[in-house]
Amino acid sequence: MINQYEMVIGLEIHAELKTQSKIYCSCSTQFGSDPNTQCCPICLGLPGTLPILNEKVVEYAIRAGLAMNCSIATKTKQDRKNYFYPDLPKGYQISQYDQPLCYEGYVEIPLKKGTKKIGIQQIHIEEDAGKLIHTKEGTFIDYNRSGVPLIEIVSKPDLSSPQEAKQYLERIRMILLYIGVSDCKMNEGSLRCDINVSVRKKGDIHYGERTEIKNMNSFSYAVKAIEYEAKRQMQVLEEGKTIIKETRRWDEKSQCTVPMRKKEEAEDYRYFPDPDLPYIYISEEQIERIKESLPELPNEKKQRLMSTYDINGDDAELLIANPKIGQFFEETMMYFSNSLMAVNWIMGEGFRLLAEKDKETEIFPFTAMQFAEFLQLIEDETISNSIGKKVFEKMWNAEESPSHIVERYGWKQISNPQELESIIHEVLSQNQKSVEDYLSGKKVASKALMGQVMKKTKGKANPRKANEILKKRLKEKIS
Amino acid sequence: MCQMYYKIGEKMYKKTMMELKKLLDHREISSVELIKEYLNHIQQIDSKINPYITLQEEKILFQLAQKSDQKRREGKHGILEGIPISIGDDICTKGIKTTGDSRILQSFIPPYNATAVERCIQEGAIVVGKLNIPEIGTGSFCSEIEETSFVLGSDREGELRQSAYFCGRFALKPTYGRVSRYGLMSIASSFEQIGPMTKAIDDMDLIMKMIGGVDDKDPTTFSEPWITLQKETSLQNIKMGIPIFSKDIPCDFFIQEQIQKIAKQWNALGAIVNEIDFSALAYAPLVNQILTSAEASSNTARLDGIRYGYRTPKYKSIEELYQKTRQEGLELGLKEKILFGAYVLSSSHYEDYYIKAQKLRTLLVDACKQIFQDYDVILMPVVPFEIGNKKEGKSIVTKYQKNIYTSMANITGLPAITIPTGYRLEGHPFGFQLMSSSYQEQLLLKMASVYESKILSKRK
Repeated sequence: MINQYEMVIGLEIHAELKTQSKIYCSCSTQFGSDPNTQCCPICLGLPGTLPILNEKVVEYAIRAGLAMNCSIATKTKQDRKNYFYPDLPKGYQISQYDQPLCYEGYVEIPLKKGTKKIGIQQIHIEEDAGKLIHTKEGTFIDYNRSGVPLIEIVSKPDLSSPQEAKQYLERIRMILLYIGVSDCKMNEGSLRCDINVSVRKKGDIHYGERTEIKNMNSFSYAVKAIEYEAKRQMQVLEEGKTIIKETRRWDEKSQCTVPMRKKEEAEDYRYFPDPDLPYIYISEEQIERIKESLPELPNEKKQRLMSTYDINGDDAELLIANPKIGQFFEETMMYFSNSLMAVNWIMGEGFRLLAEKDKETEIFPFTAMQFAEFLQLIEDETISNSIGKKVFEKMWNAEESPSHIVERYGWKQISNPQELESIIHEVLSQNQKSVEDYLSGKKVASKALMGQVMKKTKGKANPRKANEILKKRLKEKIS
Repeated sequence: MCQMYYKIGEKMYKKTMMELKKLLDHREISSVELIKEYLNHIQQIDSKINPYITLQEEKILFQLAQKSDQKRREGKHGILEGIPISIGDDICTKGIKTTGDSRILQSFIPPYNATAVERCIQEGAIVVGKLNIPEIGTGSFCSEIEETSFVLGSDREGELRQSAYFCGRFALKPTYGRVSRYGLMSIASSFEQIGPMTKAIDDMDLIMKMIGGVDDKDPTTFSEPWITLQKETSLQNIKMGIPIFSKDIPCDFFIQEQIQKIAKQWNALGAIVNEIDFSALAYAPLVNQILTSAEASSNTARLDGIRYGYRTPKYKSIEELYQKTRQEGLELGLKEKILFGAYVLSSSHYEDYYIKAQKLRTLLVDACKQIFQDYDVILMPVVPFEIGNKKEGKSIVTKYQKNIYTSMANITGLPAITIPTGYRLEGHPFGFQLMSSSYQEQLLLKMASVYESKILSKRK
């Protein structure tokens, strides 16, 4: 049954902008301060106060718009969205309704095979509301967040699976982090999204009725919510019933979406242009200036990494997803030329140890130059790969250079043929049984002998060279 | 030679601001004495006609007056040092209760001054108290008493200009954006301006210069400078239009007669007066009602009993808290406006009412522009009917047309001034209105000044 249907998904992402001050007053936007310590008559909506637009908000939103290939309006307005809620001090939210600041853009997301363009319908600016705090003694309101600037990024219904939605979310987050307009901390609520989901029979040109899942603040919940909701809608349709247009929310406990309010209770927000705020005019020069100030964006960087360093798309994707690591990689490549080797060490041992040692830090505790020196030790066979793992781990704690570590622990690889000859000679004479096994055709016995070589040298024997000599001596015995 | 301005027994509360300023400057009276006299006078006013909702505490008033006298002695005084002023109760005054004449804000004490108030206080003015807010067509600002030499009030559809008309004063509704709205409790954001009501044109000129200009707290303010009144007596080449009255532009006959009389005065003073087709006026009440209600419905949503002001004592849910608080705390007139405003903004009626009214508003702006290509000012009545309940009942003007001649200036953002004629009709003061194109307040003041010196001074 599921195969007959396809999903149509659209996302509305709200990202808090990390401007120093709020959108319509000069209060701080700092997260985590004591309740109601970052408020003033304006963001508390006291009578007679008026909003003054923070121009940084416009600039940041345009940055986001340009980074997502949007057109930028040269004249735009702000509208009031009217509804009553205790966290909304003015009884309306200042937002943008029909003339968004940025419109008609797209972002490219990576799929298993190739990429897909996801349309951005619009990006508009608006103010955040306060926060209700429910306690045993009653409900309290913290207005610190009231008036913190937000952008709402509205996608077109171009997403067709939960995985695509996740890729899209991650791409948007990455772009916002790259251009430095939002911290995108989901746990602090600075990135949240609403999801529109509908399903239709494959090949159907009309969209099915959609439901909206509100206020998702985790990517993995978003995936689960979409999966659940799409399946639920398919079942409803299969039962011959119709989908009701409604707002739902994801309930993590029961792992399902539950209705919040039905269509007949749907609010009429009575949008109209805010008479307190003049039109916003944006000049071509301003747009051009912002465009020029944009840093390299994730997709550009990915392409450049792939072509410059000859690495594959998956590796490049991991590097752009971790910009600090990406930069570390590029610095390493200033001193070292084997990009594949560098990438493998970063992705393998590097990520493993980062996760193990300290989840908070995003970067290695040594310099790219030291890392390059380390790689060079392996490359020129001063140490083996397995010793390399030990050295790499030591580099986490010691402030020594990798060469010093190798020296201090006496981990230098034994590559001298004469030295190896004598060790192998010893091993062969002490392990007659294995030698006989080998001679009787059990080729695996050579592995046991090699193990003995490594044991004797505490892993320091150059495996390639030792193996060569061992094979040579064993062959001599056959003949 | 020292000139005496102060005659024993003269009533200070009858003086203009400039007169008071001279008395203070010449040390013929002190601020403390001035305050004492005002307070005595206010106490004598019948409580029925007392226009004050809140009076500043006596102790504070005397402290402020003493400080003013001190400053004056030290020569560090501001332009309005020690001069008492009154402020409309919908304009925020720091530390003084500001209720907006509404139960829901009965206990609201703003922690900030409106910019216009702040600018007066910076120059040494002393806020004596807060005045009730006149309703359109009633003018309850001051009735028959003489209050402070000037008043700062709000003008949304003509309240301030009508108040002046009923009190025999001058009042200006400045060009939209001339005076900061910061601290004025918003009802109709795109219509309202704070303006002065004064006893003399010199006072108005001084106050406008002081309170006007860009305010970084109000993004709708503009930087066009205030041009100080140039006293001229010549009105050569001034072209004045008078609307042709009709069924759609109603005006009681008696008022029409008075306006004709005033037109003749202007003609004698040198203005060229012509009748004009100002049929756009007919739409003013409608546009006003739809758009001011829409804005009011949203602007007053913050009066919800959550953070400040009145909250209903008993409620079971948040919805009930909102409903009962607003039911008990808001006045009937405002409720009507909110309901109507919410209706015209609702998604199913937005296009039919709000959008159409906005389009009409643009047309009215254009119509006025058209007239001002050929004319400098338009002479109009302030109120289209005779005062007094009996006569009002017989008037051809409906409830919604009470603002027909004043609301046009608010709809279009143009400046308009009420000028008193200095005589009374049926025992009430009488006056008229002049409206000009944007930023032309200096022309309005110049004409008012000519009228003041040529007509009013003779009448005194």
